[in-house]
Amino acid sequence: MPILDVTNTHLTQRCATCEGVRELGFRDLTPTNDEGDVLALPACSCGSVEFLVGASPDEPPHPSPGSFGHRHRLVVDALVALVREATEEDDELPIADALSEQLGDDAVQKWFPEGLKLEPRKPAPDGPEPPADEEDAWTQS
Amino acid sequence: MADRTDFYFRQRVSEAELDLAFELLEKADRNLAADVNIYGVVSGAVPSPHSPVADLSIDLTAPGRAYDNLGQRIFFGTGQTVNCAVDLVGIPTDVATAGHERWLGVFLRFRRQLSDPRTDGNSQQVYFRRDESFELVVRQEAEGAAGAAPRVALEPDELLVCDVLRRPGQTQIIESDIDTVRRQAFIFAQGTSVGVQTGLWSILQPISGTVQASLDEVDAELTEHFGATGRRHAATEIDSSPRGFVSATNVQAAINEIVDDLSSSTAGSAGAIRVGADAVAGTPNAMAAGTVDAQLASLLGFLNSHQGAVTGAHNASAIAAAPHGFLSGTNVQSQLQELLTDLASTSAGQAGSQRVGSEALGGSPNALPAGAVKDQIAALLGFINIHLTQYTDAHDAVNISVADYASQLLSADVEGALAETLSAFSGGHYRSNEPNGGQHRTIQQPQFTGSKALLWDAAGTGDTGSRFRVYADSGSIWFTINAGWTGSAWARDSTSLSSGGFRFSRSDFETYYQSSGTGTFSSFERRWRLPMSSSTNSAFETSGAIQEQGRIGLGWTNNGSGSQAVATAGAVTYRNRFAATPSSITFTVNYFTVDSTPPSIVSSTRDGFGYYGYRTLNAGQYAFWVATYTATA
Repeated sequence: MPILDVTNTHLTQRCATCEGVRELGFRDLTPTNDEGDVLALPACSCGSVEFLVGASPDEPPHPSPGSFGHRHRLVVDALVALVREATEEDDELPIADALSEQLGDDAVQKWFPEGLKLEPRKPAPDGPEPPADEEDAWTQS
Repeated sequence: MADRTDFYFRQRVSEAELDLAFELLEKADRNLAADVNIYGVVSGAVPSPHSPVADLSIDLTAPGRAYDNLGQRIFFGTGQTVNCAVDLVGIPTDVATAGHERWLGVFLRFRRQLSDPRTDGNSQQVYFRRDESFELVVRQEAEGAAGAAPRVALEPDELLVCDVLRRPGQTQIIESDIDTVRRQAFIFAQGTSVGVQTGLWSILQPISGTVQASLDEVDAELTEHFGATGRRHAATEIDSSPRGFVSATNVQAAINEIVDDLSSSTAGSAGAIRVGADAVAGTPNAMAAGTVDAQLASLLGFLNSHQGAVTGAHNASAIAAAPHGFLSGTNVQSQLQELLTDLASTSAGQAGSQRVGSEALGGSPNALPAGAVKDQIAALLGFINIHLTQYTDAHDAVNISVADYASQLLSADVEGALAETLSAFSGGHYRSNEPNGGQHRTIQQPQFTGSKALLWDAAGTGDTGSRFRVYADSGSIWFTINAGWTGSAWARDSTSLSSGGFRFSRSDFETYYQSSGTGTFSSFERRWRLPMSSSTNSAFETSGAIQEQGRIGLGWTNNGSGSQAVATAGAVTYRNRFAATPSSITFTVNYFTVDSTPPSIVSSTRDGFGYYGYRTLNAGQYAFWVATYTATA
C-alpha cells in the first residue's frame, strides 16, 4: 500500500508489490506531468514504481468518507498541491505540518484525529492462506 | 346289788373264792351301768389344740369320766396330751400326697393298771393291785383326696373322743382339725324312758307322753317357728324399742315406719337421707361418709361433670371395646391405633385399601362392582393399563381437547387441530397422501416487520461462520453469510471470520465483504455493485478498500533511418469501476527491453488511466515494456 503515515521529516510508504516499507523525503516526490497531478515515487527495491495520482477537478466526493481510500486521497491531493507549490527552499519542509495546513484544521480534526496515520488493518484470512502473489495485503481499516 | 358269796366260820378261803367275790361286785357295778345305759364319755376329755404351743398333739380336759359298752368305768384325773403324730403301733400319720388328707381317731378304752407285785405260793410273780385305768389310743385311716378321706371305724370296746384331721406338711393341729361330731358322749337317759305330763300343755301335743316325744314336738314346733312354716309371730306382737327415726314400739309398726321413711321421696326427708353410707375412696373422685342422699348427690355431680366434659372425659384406653372385624383390640385406644395402622398399611394382602369397602360404580364402557377399595383400584389400574397400551382407537381425536397455551390454534380439540395444522401445511406443502408428499408448494410469506425482514435463516452444516440468511428490505433482497441484521446494523455470527454475501434489487446487483472483527457494522467495507438501471451499466462499481491488479504493456519501433525518440501510449480499463479515482497506481515491470522506465500516467479516472512513454531507439530498433499495475482506491 502507498502512504502509511506522514511526519514532518518523512513519508512512510509500503510497496504494493513486495510490501517493503521505506521512508521517503518530500523531495522524493517527482511530478510526472506538466499538470503535476501525478507524483512518482522512487522505484522500490523490487523494481516497482508507485505513482500517487491526484484527483481531477471534477472528481466527485469520495463515496466512502473516512475510509482509508478517502483519507489516502486527501493526503495524496495535499501532497500534489504541496509539490506543485514547492520551491527550492522547501527541501526541509515539515511535511506533516505542511500537509495539515494544506488539509485544513476541520479536515485534520475530522479525518486525522490521531495524526496523519493511515496504517490499515490486514484482514484475517477466511480459509487457507492464498499463494503469496494472490494475497491481498491491503484492506481498508 | 351284786351276786354274793357267804363266807363261813373256819372257811379256808381260796384265791378263786376271793377273786369271785370281787368279780361279782364288778359285775354288779357294770350291770348297773349297763342297765342305766351309762355309755360314753360322761364328762371331761374335751379335745383342744395343745397348749401353750400347738403341735401334732391334742390336749384332753380332766377329770375325764366315761363308761364303755361293758360298763367299765374309765377315769383320768389329770389332763392328757395325745400325740397324733403316730398311731397306736408307732406308724407315722403324716400325709404324703399333696391334695390329700387323713383322718385319725382318738379313742379312750378301759384297762387295768397292774401294781404291787408279789410272789405267790408257786413262786410266780403276781400283781396284787389291779386298779381301774385308761388308755388313749390313736388310730389312723388311709389318706384320701381332701374332703373325701375316710374316717376311722368305731371300735366296739373303745370310745371315740374325737376325729383329728391330718394335712400335708402339717406341723400343728389346730381347732379346725379337731372334729367332735362322732364323739361317743354319754347319754344319761333315753328320752323315751322319761315320762311327762302333757295335759296342761296348750301348744305342745307330743305323740306320746315321753320326754323324747315332747322334745321331738318342741323340735317340730321350733322347726316350724324358726323355718317360718308355722307358729309364726305377728310382727305386731314383737316388741321393738324406738331408735333413730323409728319411733314405733313393735316390729310391724317399726317396719312400716322404716318402709315409709325409707321409701319417702319428700324433699328433706327422703329415704336416702336415712340410709347411711361410709366413705368411699377413689380417684379422681371420692365420697365422704354420710347419707346415701348426700352420696347420690355427689355421684350425680360427678356424673354431670363427667358427661358434660368436652375433653378428657376418659382415656380411650379405659373404654372397653369388643373385638370386631379386623380389630382385635379390647379398648377404644388400642382399636383406634389398630384401625389407623391397618388403614395405613401397605403390606401385600393387608393393605388399608383392602379394609375399606366401596359400592358398585356404574359406567360405560367400564364399571366397578361393589367390593374393597383395593379391588376397585386394581380394576381401575387394569382399565387404565389396557387403555394406555391401546395403540389404536383409544380415543376419537375429536374427543381429545387441546389446551393451546401458546394460542396458536383456532380448534379446541385434536381433530380440529390436526385439520387446522394440515390445512396450514397443505397450503405450503404436498401432503403425504399426495404425489411429492412432504415437498414444498410455493413458499409464500406475508409482510414482515422491521427494516430488513428475515426470510430465510439456515444453519447449513452447523459451522457458525457459514450461517446463511436471506433478508428483504424496501428495495433489495440480501443474501448473507456470517452476518445477521440486528435491526440497525450487521453483526457477525463468528467474530473470527469475515462476512459476505450479495444483494439484488430491481435496479442493481451487489456483492459485499466485511473483514473479521468484533462489533457491528452498518455497511460492508468492500462492495461490488452492477448498476443495472444506470446508463453506464456494463461493469461492477466498487467501493471500499478495493485493489485491482492488471496488465499493461507498451511497445516502440523506430522505422526511421536514424536514432530517434519514439512515443507510444495506451489506456487501461479497470475490470470494475472504482468508487473514486485510485490515488495510488503501482507498476511492477514484468518484461522490458532497452529501457525499464515506466510510462507516465495521465487522465486517471475510476474507470482506468491513460499512459504514455518515450524511448530513444536506433533505426529499426524496437523496445517493449510489460508490467503489472496495481491500482488502489
